[in-house]
Amino acid sequence: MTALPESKTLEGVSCLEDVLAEHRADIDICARCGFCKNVCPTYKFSDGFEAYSPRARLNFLRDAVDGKAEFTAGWVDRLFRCTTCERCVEVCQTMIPLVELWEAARARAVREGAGPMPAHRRIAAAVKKTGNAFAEPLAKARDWMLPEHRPAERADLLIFGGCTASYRNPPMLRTGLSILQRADVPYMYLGGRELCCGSPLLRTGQDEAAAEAIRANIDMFSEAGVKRIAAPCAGCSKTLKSDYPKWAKRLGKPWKVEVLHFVELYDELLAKGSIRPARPISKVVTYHDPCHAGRAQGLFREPRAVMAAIPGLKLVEMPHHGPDSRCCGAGGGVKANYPQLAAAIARDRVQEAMDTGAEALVTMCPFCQASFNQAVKELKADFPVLGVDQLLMESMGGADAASAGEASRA
Amino acid sequence: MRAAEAREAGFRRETKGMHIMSDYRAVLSCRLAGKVSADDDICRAYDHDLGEMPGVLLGLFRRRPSCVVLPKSAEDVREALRTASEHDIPVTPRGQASSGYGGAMPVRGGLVVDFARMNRVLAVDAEHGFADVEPGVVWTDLAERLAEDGLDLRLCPTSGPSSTVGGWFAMGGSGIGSLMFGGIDQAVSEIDAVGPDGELRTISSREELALWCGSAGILGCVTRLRLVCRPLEPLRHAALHLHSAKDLARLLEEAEGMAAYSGTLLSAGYLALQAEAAGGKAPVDAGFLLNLTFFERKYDRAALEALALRHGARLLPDETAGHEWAERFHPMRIKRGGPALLCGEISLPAKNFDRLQALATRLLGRDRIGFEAFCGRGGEMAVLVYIPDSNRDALSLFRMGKAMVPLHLARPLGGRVYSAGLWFNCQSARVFGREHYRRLLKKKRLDDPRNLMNPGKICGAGRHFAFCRALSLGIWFGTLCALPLSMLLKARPVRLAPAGAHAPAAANVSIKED
Repeated sequence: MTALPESKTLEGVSCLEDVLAEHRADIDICARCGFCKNVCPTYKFSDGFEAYSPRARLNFLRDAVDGKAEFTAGWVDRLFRCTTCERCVEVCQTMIPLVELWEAARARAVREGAGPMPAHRRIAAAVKKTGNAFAEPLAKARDWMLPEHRPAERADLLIFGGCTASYRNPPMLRTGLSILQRADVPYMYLGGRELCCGSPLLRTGQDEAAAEAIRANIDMFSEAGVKRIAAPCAGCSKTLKSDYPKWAKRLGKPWKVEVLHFVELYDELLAKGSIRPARPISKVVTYHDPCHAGRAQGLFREPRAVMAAIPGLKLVEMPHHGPDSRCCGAGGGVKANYPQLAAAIARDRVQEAMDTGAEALVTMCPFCQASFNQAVKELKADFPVLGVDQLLMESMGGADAASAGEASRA
Repeated sequence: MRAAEAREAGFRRETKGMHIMSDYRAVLSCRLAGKVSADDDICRAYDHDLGEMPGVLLGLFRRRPSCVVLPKSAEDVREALRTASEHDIPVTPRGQASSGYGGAMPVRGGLVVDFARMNRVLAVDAEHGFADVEPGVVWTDLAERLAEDGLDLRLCPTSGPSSTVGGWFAMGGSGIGSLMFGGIDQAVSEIDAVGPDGELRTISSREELALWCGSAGILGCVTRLRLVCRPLEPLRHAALHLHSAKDLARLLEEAEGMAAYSGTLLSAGYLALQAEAAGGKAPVDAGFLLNLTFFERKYDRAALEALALRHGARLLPDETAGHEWAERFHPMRIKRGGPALLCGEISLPAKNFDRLQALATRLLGRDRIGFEAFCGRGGEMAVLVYIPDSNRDALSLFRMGKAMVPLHLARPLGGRVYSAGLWFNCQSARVFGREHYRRLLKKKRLDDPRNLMNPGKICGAGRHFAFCRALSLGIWFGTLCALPLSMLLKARPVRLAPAGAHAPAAANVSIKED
């Protein structure tokens, strides 16, 4: 094993690995305090040995970067057990960008042929073959649309459906578009042309595979001349918001786009008075901050503002909420390759939600919703999992809200 | 001929050792199925603690354990220690390893007992104000649990979000709340502990508890602690700006008289480092900030103003006090100004803090230096002296001696090294007091004649301990002799971007880049 080269050029090589060189000093400032270990969701559900903690991973990474350790199968496995939830980043005393480092380490493991995990390879193959992570025909991307949905030929705002919402949780996308229609917001939709945002590939260190999709998407955005992109998925919006600007720079492409999660749009429309949730919803709910929307994008106020605007709706917070929110277990490729680990984390979170005495768990990420729906089933609980959009639509008197709710609970 | 015999004897010892090792791991795996790992990758994560020591020293001490066990009950601990004893295997107990004295380093390899899975709160007695906990419980988790029963911790270390109850008890010392409640030894009223023979005992006599507290696991493994708690009640904070620390001892005495719960002294240098790391502005440019915390029912603003007036101090805005309280768990944030942080930690009478600070500042005048001190009961202080540095150049090894400057300076001022552990085992008698040390040594020799329990730490017997003691003496006197060189070489910190610069894509609106 050799120490990491100082820097790399872009084309054809792993860009994420640059992060390891860029943040070499950050690796050194680890205080080994172990704050990260105590909050890490995957450590909690590991067999408990120190090696499963983020602290140990970083220590290993330091040795690996210095050429003193090798990516053994055990370490690679532990590197890929991270959900990239950023809890470790949140509590890190010295504010090390740990998740960036985990992703960079994964990229290096991929380059050395030690990674990714089998399920992650399948995702990359699916994206390469079909353009989406679920290997669905691109033609299906518009199947969920209602007759009332009338995307414009040209508009400043582009709706980016994303793989999970488009192919696995269309009600979330459908409701979002219905809300935009009612607010008379012109929007474009390029379903059938848009490719996977690259999130599942970037999170699992497959940046060469991601680069192709990202390049195609950036070209598509550029051709369409969009100024704003809104996505219903926490993962897509995080990737478009924080990864695309860097990748555009690396790929030598312009990037002058504002990226929003749907909930930011709702918040904006509420503030402008373009939508008015008037129908009371007498429910006590609790809210789960998706990691990639909350900690990664800072979207803590917006969902709460939307829920606060709904008459009759009462929010009761879980002990761990906001920046301290726990993970659903699905991110970072964990649900794909370690389904039992992901399920255990999700059950833990659902239990915390149920312990608040709330009638339902609300969130705003198709990934989280899918995980929680499965956890509710496993716990044999009568505990609906709802989207912020569903509640908003219902309060706006939306016709498709009920069906959306059912679909989400299915 | 003699050399050849010695080599042969060494080889026999080594191979015999290997045979025993594999035996003990197999036995342990049978007895504690699913809780044991001898995987080399797993074991490598246990060969260090928080401390960053020169590679030369680590090379002498750093050993990878041959096996790790994660007990889930006192019975598991008994089984582990019994097995180790049967096979003559050294045992290193481990909490969170969030201390830098080498106490959790398995310097003779062998078995590490990691208490991460013994983290249950066994019982909370709200009426009598105590809690029974397993050693692996994390302090802030315990605080959350106690709050459900209207209780709170008397004391908490600044590493509270990760460090364990058992770990701090084994380490000893003071922290947040010590101004009112003293050290950790005062907060524990009973323990269950497994000795080197694998026998479980309940210990509640003050004298014996005192021996166990701070003993770094050289007497055995604690499996339950009874913590004395306080009622949960609102706190108020007050920040005083002191121009100097000359009058500190009297001020603290008066604050103690005003029933202050906790007191932390931060130098302007420390606050500047903190502000740079976090990307903010330091609340004071010179002197010290003394953050006092009171129970709300005891908080008396008028009395505080009078206190400030008497001592020529100035009361700072409540937000400053609140901010410093909120940052109480983040002392290491200033490591961003490093990336290495040279740190000397001492216990010192408050009346001599001023002299220590003046001396250290003068001798290390070329470096950036920060002082953080926790006020204890009866005029004692735990003082941390920080010097940010880089650890990537050839001379960094020699500059590490700077961390020892405050330790050497503190000795004639009635101070002592904060903890002995591995690196300062030569200072054990001073750390514990001669009489206490004598009793500890006697018990260690009696209970653990083979020196199997956490060897190399504090005190012990045999050739291996003598080697560790010799190295500790070497560190102590070597750094004393090299003080002029340490002072001469200027620390070379590489300041990283402020912590906030890494805040994730929290800029939740547009990210526009060409």
